[in-house]
Parts: sequence; C-alpha cells; structure tokens
Amino acid sequence: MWWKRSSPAVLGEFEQLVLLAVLRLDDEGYGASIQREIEERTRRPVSLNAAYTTLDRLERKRLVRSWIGEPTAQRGGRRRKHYALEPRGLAAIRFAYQSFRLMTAGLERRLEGA
Amino acid sequence: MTPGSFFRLHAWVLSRRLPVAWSEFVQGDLQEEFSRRHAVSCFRARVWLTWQTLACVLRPPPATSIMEPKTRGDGPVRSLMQDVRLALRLLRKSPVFTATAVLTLALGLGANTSIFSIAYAAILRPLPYAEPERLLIVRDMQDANETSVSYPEYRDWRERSAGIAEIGAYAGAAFTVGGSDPLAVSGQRASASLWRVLGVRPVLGRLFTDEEDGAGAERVVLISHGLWQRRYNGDPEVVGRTILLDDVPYTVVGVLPQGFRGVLPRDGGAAMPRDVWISLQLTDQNAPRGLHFLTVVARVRPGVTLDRARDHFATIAASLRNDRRTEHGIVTRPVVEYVASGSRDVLLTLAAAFAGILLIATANLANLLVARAAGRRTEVAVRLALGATRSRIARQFLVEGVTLTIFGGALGLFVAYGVLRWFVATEPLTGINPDLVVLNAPALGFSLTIALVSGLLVGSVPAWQALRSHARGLLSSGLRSASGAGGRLRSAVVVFQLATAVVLLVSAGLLSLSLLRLLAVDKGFDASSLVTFDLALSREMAREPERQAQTFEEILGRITGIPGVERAVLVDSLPFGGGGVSGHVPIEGRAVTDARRATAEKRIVSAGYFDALRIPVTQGRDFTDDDRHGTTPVAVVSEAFARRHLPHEDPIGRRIQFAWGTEDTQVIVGVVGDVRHEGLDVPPEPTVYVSYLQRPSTALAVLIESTRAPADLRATVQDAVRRTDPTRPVPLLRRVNDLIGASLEPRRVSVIVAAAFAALALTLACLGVYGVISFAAASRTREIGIRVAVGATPGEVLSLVMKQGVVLTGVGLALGIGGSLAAARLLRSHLFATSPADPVMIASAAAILGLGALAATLVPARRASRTDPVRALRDESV
Repeated sequence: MWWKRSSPAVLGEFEQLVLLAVLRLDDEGYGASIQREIEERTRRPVSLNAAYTTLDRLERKRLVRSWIGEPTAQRGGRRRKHYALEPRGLAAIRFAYQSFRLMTAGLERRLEGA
Repeated sequence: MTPGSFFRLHAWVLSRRLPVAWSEFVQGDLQEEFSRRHAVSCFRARVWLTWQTLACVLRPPPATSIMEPKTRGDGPVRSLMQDVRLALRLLRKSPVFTATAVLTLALGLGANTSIFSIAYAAILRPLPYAEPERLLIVRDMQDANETSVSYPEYRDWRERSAGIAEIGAYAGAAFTVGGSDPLAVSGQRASASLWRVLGVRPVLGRLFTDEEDGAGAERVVLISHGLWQRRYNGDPEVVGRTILLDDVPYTVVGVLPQGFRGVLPRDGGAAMPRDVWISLQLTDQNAPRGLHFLTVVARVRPGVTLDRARDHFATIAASLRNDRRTEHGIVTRPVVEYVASGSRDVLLTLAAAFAGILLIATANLANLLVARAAGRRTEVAVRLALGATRSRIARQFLVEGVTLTIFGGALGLFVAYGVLRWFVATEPLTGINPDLVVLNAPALGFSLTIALVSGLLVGSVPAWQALRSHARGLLSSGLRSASGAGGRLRSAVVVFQLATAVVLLVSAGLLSLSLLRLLAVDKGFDASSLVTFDLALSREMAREPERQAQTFEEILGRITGIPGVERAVLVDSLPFGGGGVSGHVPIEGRAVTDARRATAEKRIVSAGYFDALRIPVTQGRDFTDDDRHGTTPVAVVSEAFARRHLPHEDPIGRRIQFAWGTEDTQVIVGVVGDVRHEGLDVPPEPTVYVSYLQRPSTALAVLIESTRAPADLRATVQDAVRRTDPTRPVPLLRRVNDLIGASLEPRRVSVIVAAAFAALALTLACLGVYGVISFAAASRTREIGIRVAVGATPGEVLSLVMKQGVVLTGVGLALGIGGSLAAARLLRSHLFATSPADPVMIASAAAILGLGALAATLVPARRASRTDPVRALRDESV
C-alpha cells in the first residue's frame, strides 16, 4: 500500500493496566474483576470509579467493546457490564508492550535490582 | 450498622454522584465485591467501600461520557466540588500556611466546642430527668431571704398544691454503713413523691411508698449503683437485705440507676457522690416548724404553665398566712436556672473569652488570605478576562475559607476532647454533672456550625475584594495597587484584632488582680497547720446528751495524747466548709420585731478553738473545760454580732437564746474577732459560739494541730477513735488549707484561662499588625525605592512605614479601651475589691499591647529602610 498504516493509539499508563487486565480476563472482564485484577497484581489501590472512567474512554476510542449481562442476586438484581478487547485495543497494547520491552532491554538488572 | 444498611447508605450516596448509565454497574460491582471482602474481614470491607465511595464523590466521572452527556450531580454541586479540589490543591501547595491556619483554628474552634459542651451540661441540659423545664425549686421566703423548707411547711404545701403540681422533698444526710468494715457515706433523705417528681426508676427493686414517709414506718433504703457494685459486688440479692446505717437496721428496697449521684448536681460532684437514700421519717416533733433543712422540688402537672404554678404557690403562701400557720412567703424558681446559677457567670465569661479568641484567629486568617489573594491578582484577572463571573471567583475564596475551617474544626474536636477529659477529671466547677460533659450530637453540630460560619467569615474578606475588582486594572497593576481597598480592609481587621486583644488583656488583668486581693484578705483565722476529719458518733454513743459530750471529750483526750499532736479542738462546722447553721438569736430584754431580729451564724466549739485558729479574744474570756453540763450556760459572740446587735452596749453579761424551741439562755462571756465563714469574698457574719459540753452534738469536726503529716497521723488517730467507739469508720484527714484552696478553685481557673487567652490574643494581634505592615511595606517597594533614589534617608523611610503602624495601633487601642469598659460590666460579679474600670489596669494593658504592636511594626519598617533602590525598581518593573 502506498499510504502508511495508521499507527496504533498511544496509551496512558493506567489505560495500559486496564487493557492488560481485560486481556487477562478474556470474556470475564467487568468493572469489579478488572479493578481487582489490577489491585491484586500491582498492589496499588484502584477505585472502581477510575476503572469505569478509563474503560469509558477506551470504549470511546474503540479499543474495547462492551455488552450487558443478566441481573444476578449477588449484585442485588443489578446487571453486569462486560468488556473485551477490540482488535485496535489489542494492537495498541501490543505496541505499548513492544515499546516498553525495547526500551527496557539490557536494563533488567538495573531496573529490578535493589 | 448492619452490612446491608452500611452498603445501602453508600449506594445512596453513589446514586447521587454517578452518571445514570453507570450507576447500576458500579453499584452492582461494589455490592459483589463488598460481600466478597466482608466474608474475609468486616472492618476492611467497610474501609474499602468507604474509600471507593469517597473516590467517586471527590473525583466524579467526567461529564462527557459516551453513554450520557450529563450526570445527575452536574451544575452547582459539580462546580462546587471543583472549587473544593482547587482549594485543597492550593492548600497543599503552601503547607506552612495551611498548618499554621489549621492549628490556630483548631485551638479556637476546639476551645469553643469544649465550652459549649460544658455549658450544655451546666445550663442547657443540666439534669438527667425527663422534661426538666417542668421542674421547679420551691423555697421558703423569710424576710426577703430565701431559705430551705421546714417539714410542716412541706406538708402544708403538698396538701394545697396537689392539683397543680406534684412535690417532693429531700435533705442531705451522712451515715456510717456498718459491718466488719464500716464505711462513711453521704446520702439523702427523700420523700416517696420525690422519685415520681424526678421520674427516676430503679434498676433493681422498687422506690419508696407514700406510707414510708412517716416516722413509724419500716426503715427502707435505696442504694446507688456505685455502692451496689463496690460494696455488694453487683449482687442482685441485695434487695431485701438488711444493712446497718449508723447502727440502725434498714432494708434495701432498690438500686438506683448508674449516674444518679444526687437529686441535683450541686448536691454532690465526683468528690462527694451520694450513695444511700432513706425515706423521710419525719414528724412535727422531730422536725418542727423552725427547722429549715429540706429542699423541695415540684413537677408542674401537664397543661399547667409555670406562671400559673408560681401564682398558685403565691396563693398558698397567702392562705397559710391567713390561717396564721406561718409568716413566710414562697418563692419558686425553675430547677434548670437554679442549678445553673452557680456556674453560669463563669461559663459566660469563658465563652466570651473563647469567642474573642476565635474572632481574632478568624481575623488573622482573613488577613492572611487577603495577602495570598493579593498575590493571586493576576490569576483572578486572567479568570475574569476569560469570562469567569465575579460570583464564581468570590465563591472560590469562600470555599477556600470553609475548607480551612473544616480541617481546623476536625482537629479542634481532638482539642475539645482533651479539654473535656481534663474538665471531668478535675471538676473545676461544682454543680455540673460530669457524666453529662461529653462531645454529644449538639456539641458536634455546634462545632460544625461555628466552623462553617468562621470559614465564611474568613473567606468573605478576600471574596468581597474579588467582587470589587476589575479585570483590566488588575492585569496592568499587578501587586502595586495592593495597598488600596484591600489594604484598608486589612487595616480594619487588624484594628478589630487589637481592640479584642485589649479587652481580653484588661479582663485577664482584672481577674488576676481580684484574685490577688482576695488572697490577701484577712480571713480572721489562721489554720495553716491544722488537719481535720469529721467524726459522727454511733447511735449507741449518741443516745444521751450527757454521754455525747463525754465521748467527744474522751476522744479529744486520746488524740491530744498522740506524740506530735500539740492540741485538738472541735467545731460543728468548719470555716469554708459550708453547711453552717444560721438563725434567729433572741436577745433577752429586747422586743422581737421582724425588723430587729438578731440573726447569727451558730457554731458549737470546744475550749481552745479560738487559740488553735488564732482568732483573737478581744473582750471577756474563752470557754474553759469548766463550762459544762450543769454549770451556767455561756456563749461567746463575734465582734460583728456585738457591733450589729448590741451597739454602744457592753455585750458581756447579756443573755441570749441560742437554740430553737428551748427556754435555755446563755450568758455572753466573751467577744472574739470576726471570721469569714462562708468564703473569702463574703463579709463576716455575726456569729455566736457555744461550748460542745453545754450544747451536745452528735457530729463534730476534729481539728488537730500537729507537726506531723496527715498520712502519718491517720493510723494513730483511727486507733484513738476506735478505742472509744469501735464502730467508727476510718477517718479522712485533710488539711484545712486544702479545703480553703478548693473554695478558690473556680476563680483560679478563670484567671488561668483568661491569662492564657490574653497571651494568645496578644500574640495573634501582634502577628496581625506585623502581617499588615510588612505587606503594605512590600507593596510600596517601588515607591520607597524611588524615595531612596531621590535622597530619602533610612530614618525617613522608617518613620514613613512606622506611621502606618502607629495609626493602626492607636485606633485599635482606643476602640479596645472602650470595649473593655463595656466588657468589665460582665465581669463585675467576679471581681473582688477591684473596680471594673481600674485605670492602672487599662493603661498597662494598653501599654503592653501598644509596645508589642510597635515592635511588630519595627521589623518590616527596618527592612524597608534598608531598601536598595536599584533592586527595588528593577524587580518591580518586570
């Protein structure tokens, strides 16, 4: 093709975390599970509010898609909103991961060292 | 709170803040996650949920959501949250300013909250009874003097007031609870109706019945929760048990609720809680009409107004006079008022001082914020130019002020908590039930209200300035015009601070001066080396008057025999001890008319009492051990008695009648110096003394002059008492001086508080002056630079800057002196031999503050006088 393929979206740090969580959870990603996934892995407190704000933004950028599940009793009769990666989202997180890997190559000892 | 309701509360908050489209999913997620975490740790789950909710409230999702363009909380709430966030960010950027401001506010708000809690307990809600406003104290009115009530009067009143109010009576009493370990307790006699009047219910057993009021009825006793726990280990079987009170068997019929320490709080604080209540057991014989000792409380019946009740009691008094049963009147007062009267003035003084401090602190902060606002003129100008409304910018300043004071108020709660802990532990004011002195909902509400109000005050000054500003002028002038309108405002605030500080300084000075003068008063006696304890005879010993005197004489002899004891004497009621008896003392050969009734304090003493207390015998002689039963009854009177009741006559040899209802007369054999019995600030009353050998008594205080400490004496004294009467409890030996010191405690507290706050006010006011002058000088840097460049000397610059400070200080002091003359009227009742308008005090307060303020001016003035013109002009022209 004579035009350059459009480059993947640039992600903020928290956006990367959210996208990685959605990726990890496959079809099981929804607000609370995404929030918990990030919290347990990174050991930093994450507010659901922040998670939803970011997911909302990612959806507007068409990096994730969402669908609404059935109401359950353990949620007081409320429904779940599930999220999954769009191909653009997968491309964006891949791009971020590659950039990160390239930039960190050879620095592992210094970055992980005490 | 159950987990369910805890979650629902949070869900409700969230539903107000979240976009409608998210609400369901976020709440569902939170509920799912909350119940999962709750199964692990209830506490952590709640912390987590609260944090999540706060995160949503403080950082709401952006309005431009893909799902919904608007949130429910959009509009004023949202922009207010933005203001709060901006305020928090600004405060975080200047931590020193924020810390100073918050600490100052914490002190001011905390002090005010604590005084509110105490006042709430003392004045607004002093009684733990239902509908306390329907309770009246009914007292006897005798020649324009209020007195306690006699038993026959109480009975008459009760019969005639039945339709309008229920009335009950009680009186103080002291007992020894018998057993292998005798225990001295204080208690009260109470009528059966009293419990209905108060609405007190027992936690165990029953209260008294009306039949038990009479003298012949079964002897029954109610005990306090404390005594039940301490002495009977909370045994529920205590009801029905028989206990010995002064060797007389009483049946325990009930236990009163925890926290019930006496009918009215002034009856006994933590120092002397009441532990037993016995039924009245009174008759006209054992409590004749002349014996006034009952306190009567009435509960006005529903539907009857207090005014009608008062009128009704006045009618009762009139009808009793018509029936020739008495010549006395009746006076009623709301109990709430009666209880508060002892502490109201002190509390009002403290409240005024604390409010003054809060005002000064608020003014200081307002000034600091104005100074900061001046530094943010460019920011304000840009915002105005970009289309922000003035009200929006003014609101930003108000929000900053309120944010500061909310933090200050929250920290102030800790200050208040500390003050209240101290207050409950030391009880500096009597008559306040310490159980009621707590940080309760009204106190928290009060704290929040004053925090908000002072926040609005603090913020309103820079906000007002912002409202008057113009975008163009601000942008072009920058800092240079800061000494204009804002400068005047700041000056007004500082003048106000100085004036308040003068008022506080003068008040503190007057209170200290008054205390000093009071301490220098001649009490009329010197008891510095004396220790004392109360000694009540057992019933066995008290049976015959002859034997009472004998027993005391024997005990006195044994105590005098203890090594290290120089002498021991007796008195029925110590100076400053309260509980003195006063009454009518007819003088033989003198017609008794109401106008010329000789009244006097009555004291029963032993020979040597005057010597021991260094009371001079100015005429005639002291009692001797030969003045005893069977010999001529004699009396000694005070100089005040001779002066008032026997002027221009020789009192020696005159006959007086000491006791009620007896025909015995006493011959005056001596005159002694005056003694202030009631307190340092109460002038000495005419006093009549008789000997305990001729006028027997069952309870006397023993005074011991000794070189040994009370703790050393205790065991030997106890031994001396028990060898004569083995059923007596362990005596509590106290220094007489400590008792006197206790009577001065409220004054000491006022002085300490007033002095501390005056010092704080002085510091804050000087800081305020410093702030204003240095800011004004800084904003005139360019002008001063030009002056120096064209030849002004440092001295001229110094006086230029100082002039402003001198004017401010002068105006502040003038207003403050006027204010302190007005405030001193409030203090009048606390002052002893001190004029509220003491010129020396006012002049010295003004001088101290004036010097402080000038010193505060000197610092920036010297800085300005060293201005380098080149640098000044260069910095300012940027």
